[in-house]
Amino acid sequence: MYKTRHAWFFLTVPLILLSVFTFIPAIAAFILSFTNYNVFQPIEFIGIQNYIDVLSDHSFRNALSNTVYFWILVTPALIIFPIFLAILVNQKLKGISVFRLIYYFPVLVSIVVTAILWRWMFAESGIFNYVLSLVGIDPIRWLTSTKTVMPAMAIVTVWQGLGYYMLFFLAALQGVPKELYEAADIDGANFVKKHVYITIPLIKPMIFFVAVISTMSAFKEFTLMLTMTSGGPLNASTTVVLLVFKEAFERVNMGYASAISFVLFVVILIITIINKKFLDTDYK
Amino acid sequence: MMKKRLTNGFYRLGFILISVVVGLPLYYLVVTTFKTPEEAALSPLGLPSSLNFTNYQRALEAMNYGNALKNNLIITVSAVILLVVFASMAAYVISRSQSKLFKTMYNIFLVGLIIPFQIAIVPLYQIISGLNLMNTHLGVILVSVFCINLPLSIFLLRGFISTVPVELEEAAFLDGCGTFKTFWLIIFPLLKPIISTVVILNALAIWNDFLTPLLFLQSPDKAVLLQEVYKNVGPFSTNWTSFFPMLVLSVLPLVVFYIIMQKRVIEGVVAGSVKG
Repeated sequence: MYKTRHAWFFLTVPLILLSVFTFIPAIAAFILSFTNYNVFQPIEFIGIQNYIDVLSDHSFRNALSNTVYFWILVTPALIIFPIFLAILVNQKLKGISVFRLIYYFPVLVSIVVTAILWRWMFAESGIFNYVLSLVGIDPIRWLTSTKTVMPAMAIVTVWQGLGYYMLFFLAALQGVPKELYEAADIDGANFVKKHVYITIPLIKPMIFFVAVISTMSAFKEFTLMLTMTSGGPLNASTTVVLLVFKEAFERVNMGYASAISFVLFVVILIITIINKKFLDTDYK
Repeated sequence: MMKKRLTNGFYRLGFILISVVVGLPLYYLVVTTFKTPEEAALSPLGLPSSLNFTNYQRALEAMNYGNALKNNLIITVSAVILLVVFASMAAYVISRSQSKLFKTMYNIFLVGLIIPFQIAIVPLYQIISGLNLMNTHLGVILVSVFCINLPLSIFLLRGFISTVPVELEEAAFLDGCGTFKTFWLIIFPLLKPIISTVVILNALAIWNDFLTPLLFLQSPDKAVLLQEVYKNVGPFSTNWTSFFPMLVLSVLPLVVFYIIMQKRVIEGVVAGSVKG
């Protein structure tokens, strides 16, 4: 059988480079979170002061509640709509691959490009308000009102994620035995009943898997907000990672920024541990 | 029969409705690129009166397109190759080994999956400049591979490799092949479906990554397409019919890549997760 020293040879290079580019920076960031490092002054250890500040910081609470709000808007939609799409696309119909291509298209577009495009579309005189004006609805201040900015971000994210998650569900659907649907047809079950009682229970592991990955990406999202609104208006679209980015690169509070990101890390870790059970059932 | 036709009609209607909703932004993007500003303001959703490529000409120049495209290709192709080589080798060893140590190592790789890369930007920045990799493509490639994309690739590959029967390898060992030879000659060719998933997912992620080049590539001649797009947002803010072609041009190579790989995308995802 293969020898362990050969196995080591296979693993050494990725382990070393992963350490240099992921673990050492992460550990260094963890250490920095206990200092007042801001590039200009000598580093001084201040214990857990940063963490105390984070937990009582109004802008952190605001960012965390924005992030949770975004997550609640995005994750259920990115489970329900893609399942529906996958069921549709799974039908054997002529020209199905064209539809698959259209639905997958937004996935190919970079978040930066998406953000720029949608910023135009959400503008006061943009395409959405133009369409609304055709049916006689007053223009909406999509990105400049604190009420609509997060839902607008969610619309963009769902638009972009539909095709991506559709593929995962499409994969899961291949594992559902056709005979079950045929039996249901004989019993006279309709479209809705067939899928509620057969499809959903059988693709449950994939539903949980998608829930986990879309949750993680919702909690880490910031490029979209940075390019569309810079977190405004009145910080209504500032997510936690965007706050980290601003603290680190605009206010140069490196130590404080690190502390925020570790609080976020703990939040993500807790959610992941809760879901680990489901992740394990899917990928054994 | 009648019922069958009815449900098919229902499906078709669903397809078309969803296609309109999903495709509208892209349709709007593409038709606008052929319009003059006046035409775009007057009928934003109408078809352009003529196929006018002057907007594209201006965009190609402003973006320094050839050079930026070359930079994107260098980074994406090298990073994807490195990912496939290292991730498949690591995943193989991890899934075949019985020892606790390697199981632990797998968990270490997975921690890399949860850590948001943004956490470590500051120290990473110092490491990159300390290694003299600042403003080099190699720096961006190493960060893309070993800081962002490696853990997920190992995760996907390991799931697939554990379904490949061990007997094949045993035969190869008996014939005197070493671990290295066995892996590349026997195992690697069997991984084709999942490798195509890994290639596609990573190619998309790396091509569309904006933050890494933004942080580590400063000189204009090294910039990637998205940096060129971003650089022109301000100067072209009033002349957006000239700006939209840049968005199209930055996505176009990926669209071509996707259309070529389309069949493999779906096959690959199916292979990766059903067996996983």
